[in-house]
Amino acid sequence: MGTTLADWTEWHARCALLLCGDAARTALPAFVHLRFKKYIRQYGAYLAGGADGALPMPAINDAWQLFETHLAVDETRDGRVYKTWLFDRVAGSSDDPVAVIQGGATLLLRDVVREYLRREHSPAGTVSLQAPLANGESVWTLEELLPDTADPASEAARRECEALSDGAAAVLFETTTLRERVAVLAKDLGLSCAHPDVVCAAGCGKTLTALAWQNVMQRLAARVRASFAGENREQLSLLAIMTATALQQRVRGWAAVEKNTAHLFKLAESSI
Amino acid sequence: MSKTSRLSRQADTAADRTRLGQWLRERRIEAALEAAPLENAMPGDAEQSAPLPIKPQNLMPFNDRPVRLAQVRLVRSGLAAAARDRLLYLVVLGRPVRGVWMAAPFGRYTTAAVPGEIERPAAPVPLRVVCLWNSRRLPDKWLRQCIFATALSAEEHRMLAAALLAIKRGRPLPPPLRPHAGPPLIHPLDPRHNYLDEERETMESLLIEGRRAEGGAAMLPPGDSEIWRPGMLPLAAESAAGYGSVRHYDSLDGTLQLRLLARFPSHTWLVQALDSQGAVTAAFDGWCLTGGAAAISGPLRGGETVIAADSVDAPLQLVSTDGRMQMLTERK
Repeated sequence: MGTTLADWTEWHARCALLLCGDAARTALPAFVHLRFKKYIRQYGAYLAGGADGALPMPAINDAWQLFETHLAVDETRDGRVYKTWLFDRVAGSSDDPVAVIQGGATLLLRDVVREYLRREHSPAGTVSLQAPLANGESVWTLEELLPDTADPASEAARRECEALSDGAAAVLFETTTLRERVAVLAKDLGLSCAHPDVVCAAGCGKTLTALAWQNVMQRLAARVRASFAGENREQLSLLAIMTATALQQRVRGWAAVEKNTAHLFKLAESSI
Repeated sequence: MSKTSRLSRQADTAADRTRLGQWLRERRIEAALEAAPLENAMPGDAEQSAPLPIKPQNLMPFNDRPVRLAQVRLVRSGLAAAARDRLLYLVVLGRPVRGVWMAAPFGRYTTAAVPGEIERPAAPVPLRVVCLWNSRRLPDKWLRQCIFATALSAEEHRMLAAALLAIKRGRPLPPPLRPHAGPPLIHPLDPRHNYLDEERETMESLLIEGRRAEGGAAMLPPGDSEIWRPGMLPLAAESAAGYGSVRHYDSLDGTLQLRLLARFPSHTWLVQALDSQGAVTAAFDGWCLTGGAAAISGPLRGGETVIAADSVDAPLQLVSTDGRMQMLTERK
C-alpha cells in the first residue's frame, strides 16, 4: 500500500501520528518500515558475505518511532522543522508531490538507518590498529593514519628521514602538473577543489582538480614504497607523511610567486 | 638495520584512534547506503497521488523571527541545492558586523572528524557535531529565511564561540571541549580529506547560490568585501596575517623572529624563521623548537617547520644540534 498526499499533510498538520486517522496511521509507518528494510538489506549485501540475516531489523512501529525521534531537534513544534523541509521540496519541484515527499523522507531515513546501524550493529571499539580500513576511500590502517609522534631522543633518525623525504618530494615536485600543484595547494590552504578560483587556477573542472590531488598522493605513496622498499609499514607511513609535508612546502613556495595561484593565499585568508 | 628503524613512538593516541575508527565506520555505512539510491516513489504510489488540497509550503507558516546568537536554524531546501538532499542546520555563533553573522554548520555524522569539530554527546542526533572549521559569514537577510529550530544554552554558546576563536587563532580549545574534539588529520591519503572537501563544497555552494538568489547583493556586496575579512569580526579583533591567524616570537638578542601561521583544518602551525628584514631565512635550518623540556618540532628546513597547534602553550626555545639555544618571547 502506498501513501497519499492526504496522509502526509495530515501528519504534518496534526504533528503526531497518533492524532492522525487510520489511513495515515497505517500507510506512513508501512512506508517507513519498507524503506528501512530496503536500506538494511542494502547494507547487508554490502557486508562481506551479505550477512543480511544477522542485521537487526526494527518492528514497524519502532521504525516509525526512530524516524520521528531521530530527526527532531527539540521537544517543541519548532524542533520538528524537518517536516517543513520535506514539504518545502514540493514547492520547488514540478514532480508528483507524493513522490517528492517520499523522496525526501527516504533521504532522511537514510540518516536514521545509518545511526541505527552504527548503534545496533557496529561492534564498537573493535577496529584493529593494523587492519586496512578498506572503506573504498583508503587502504590505510588506523595506526598509519594516526601515528604516534616521534621520540625526541630519535631526532637524528628523524632528521635522516626528513632528508630522505625531502629528496623524494623534490623529485615528485618536478613531475607534478599545474593542475596537481593547484590541488595540493588548495588542500594545504583549506580550500575546496570545487571553489571557482581553484578551478580557474587549475584550468580544469572541479572533478579533475579533486582527482589530481588523489593522483599526486597515490604517486607519492607509490614512490615512497618503491624508494624505501626495505622499510616496514609504520616507517613507510611516516615517510609518506613527511614527504607530503615537504611537497606541500615546495608547492607553497612555487605558488607564492606564480601569477595564477598567488591570490589563493588571500582567498584562504578570507575564508574564515 | 633499516635506515629509519630507530624511529620510535611515544604518545598515546588511543582515544583519537577509537574516535577515528567510529567516524570511519559511520562513513562506511553511509557509503553502503548511498551505493544504490532507492527510487523516490514505490510502485503504486503514483495512482494514490491526488491533486494538492492545500499549498504544502503553507502548512507551517514561515517563521520570520529575528536572528539571534545561539539560534539553530535549518536551511530551507529551496535556498540552496546542497540543502535539498539533506538537513543542514546552522548555529549562529558570532555577533553581526554590518548585518553579517558568523554561523557554523552541524555535521552529517555523530562523531567528530577533525580537531575543528566538537561533539555534543547529549544533543539530538542532527545536532550532535558542530563543525567550527567550516564556519561562514552569512547575511542576516539570508539567515532569516532559514527556519528557526531551537537554541543552544548561553553557556554552550559561549563555549563554542570561544572554541571558534581558539581555532581561528590556532590556540588550544577551551579545556572542557578538548575531550570532545576530533582526532588530528595527518596522513595525506586520509579519507577525511574527501569528507572535508565535500563539506566545504556544501557550504561554499550555499554561499554562491545564496548570492545568486540575492542578485549578488546580500551575500557579498560588491565593494564591501572587507566585511568578509577575519579582522572585521568582533571575535577576531586581533591582528591576522597569512591565512588563518599569526603569532610572532622574538629571540632575546633580536637576531631572530619566528612567525607562526595557523593552518586549517589540520590544527597545526606553520613556523617560519625570519631575519631582521622579515624575510624567511635558512640560517637556523637544522634547529628544533622545544616547549618546556620536550621537542615539539622537527628541524627547520628552508626556514620552515610545522608544529601542533596546542604545543605553543609553554615558552618556546630554538635548540641547535650542538646545544646552542635561543629563548623566544611572544610579541604582544
